[in-house]
Amino acid sequence: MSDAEVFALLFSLAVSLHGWGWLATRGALVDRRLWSTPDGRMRPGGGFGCLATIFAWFSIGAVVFYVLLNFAASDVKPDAKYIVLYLVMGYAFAAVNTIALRVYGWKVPDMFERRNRAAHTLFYTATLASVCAYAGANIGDGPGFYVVIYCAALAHLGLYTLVVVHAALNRTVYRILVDRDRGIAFRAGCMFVAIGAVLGRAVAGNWAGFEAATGDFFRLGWPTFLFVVADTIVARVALSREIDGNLWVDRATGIVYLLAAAGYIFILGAPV
Amino acid sequence: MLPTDMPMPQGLPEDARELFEIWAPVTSRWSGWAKPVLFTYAPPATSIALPAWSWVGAPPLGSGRTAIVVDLPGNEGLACALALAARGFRPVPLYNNTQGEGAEVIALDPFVSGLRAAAPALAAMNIPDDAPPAFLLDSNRGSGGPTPGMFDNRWAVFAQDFPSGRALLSSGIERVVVMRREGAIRVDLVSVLRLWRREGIASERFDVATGTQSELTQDISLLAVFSGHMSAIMHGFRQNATGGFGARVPLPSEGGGGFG
Repeated sequence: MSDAEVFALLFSLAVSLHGWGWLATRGALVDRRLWSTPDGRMRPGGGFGCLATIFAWFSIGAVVFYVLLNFAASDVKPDAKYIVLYLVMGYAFAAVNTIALRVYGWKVPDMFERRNRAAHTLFYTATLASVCAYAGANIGDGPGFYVVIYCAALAHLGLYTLVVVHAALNRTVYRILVDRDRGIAFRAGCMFVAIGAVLGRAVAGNWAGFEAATGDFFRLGWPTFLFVVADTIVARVALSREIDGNLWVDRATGIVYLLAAAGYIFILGAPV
Repeated sequence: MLPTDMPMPQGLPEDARELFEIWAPVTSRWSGWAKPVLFTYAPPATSIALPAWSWVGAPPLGSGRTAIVVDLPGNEGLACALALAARGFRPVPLYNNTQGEGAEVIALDPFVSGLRAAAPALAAMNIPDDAPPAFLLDSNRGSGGPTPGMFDNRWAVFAQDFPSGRALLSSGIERVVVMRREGAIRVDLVSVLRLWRREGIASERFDVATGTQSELTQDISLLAVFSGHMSAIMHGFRQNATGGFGARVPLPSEGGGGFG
């Protein structure tokens, strides 16, 4: 590994430990202690903060590891050092994603002290969205780790832009964090995963230069905007006065988003 | 890389789960909003007795259509909570103080003692699971001037700390009464009241000193809330690295630490 790669590894490690460290610490301190009653009954939402964190952590590892082993550059696949580098980098991107989530309105206390199950869903799906965007950036051959960072950053920038547009058009943040509406959290979360997956596919493929990568990103990634439009319409049509009033409609809609993203990626075929 | 400025209670008190269950029974619909933080601290060496409470005027009854926000200082709020529990309300502690190294801006021990002192009386009351809520806040939560070396454990409430207006309406709650003494309501609570009013929850104020109940006349416009928040930011609460309130005020030679 070159000096730059070692630096990238250490920097990613530091970002990962810090980002995931405070989540784990908070969960261990607050959530684990009082999530059950003296007679062993679980409190609503109790323990889910820790579970969401653990699942997110394992999901990052599983998805990135699978993609690296099967679709990464030919010099990365057989080299354990590079597998570790890109794996740790994936955790770092996901850690940065939790900071972006804080800008969105989500806070760590929503996970643990408030035991908000809608916030757990938001956290987990947003992490998956970030992982999909990052995993796509690892697909194909390229000259070095910096192209992975560029493509992953491009995909995340697209993801965050659309999330901000969606937040501006809808009251989703309020419905998730204050109303604690699990259906809306699931629907919006699935939309984020769908956007992350499509944008990940848009930056996937063999490296052909910055201009080509950026061009592919816009050419293949533009349909993600349709998810925001569709969800804005759904949010207005399916608006309910009740919390969790449209739980099954929201869940079904979320799954439709995922299927639509999978269908689009299937139609595009393998990246070149 | 793990945070070093955050409070680290040394082991959960043995009776923490029992105590939390008394204050936030799992069967109560409002327990999901009760804050667990204070229950993780060990009981102080000296216990205290709660101040006596007597009503002036005619406070609301727990009829089901009214929720209460108790915004009183220290253990006076806990004494009021017990009195409200006797009138059919379910006290919901939202105290979000933490403990750390150095002198605390808001002394935590009296709260921890107070929650313990009130627990037997509260446990003896047979409060229905669907009783309307009485949310408990400390009116001094943002008061005090932290100096270097102190542990700044001032805190604020957010809309996420309360049920939404939609949740209150779906439980039959149509108005909220803020119980406090003289003085303006803090901007953090005003912003919550503003959101509730937008969703159709009326807000009133009950002065526990005079017993008068009145419409809330305080300006809860967006501009007032925004300028209040800006003022609060200027005064700088400190969040620790894990996102909770509470951090040590750095000495001038140290720099950094907290934000705001």
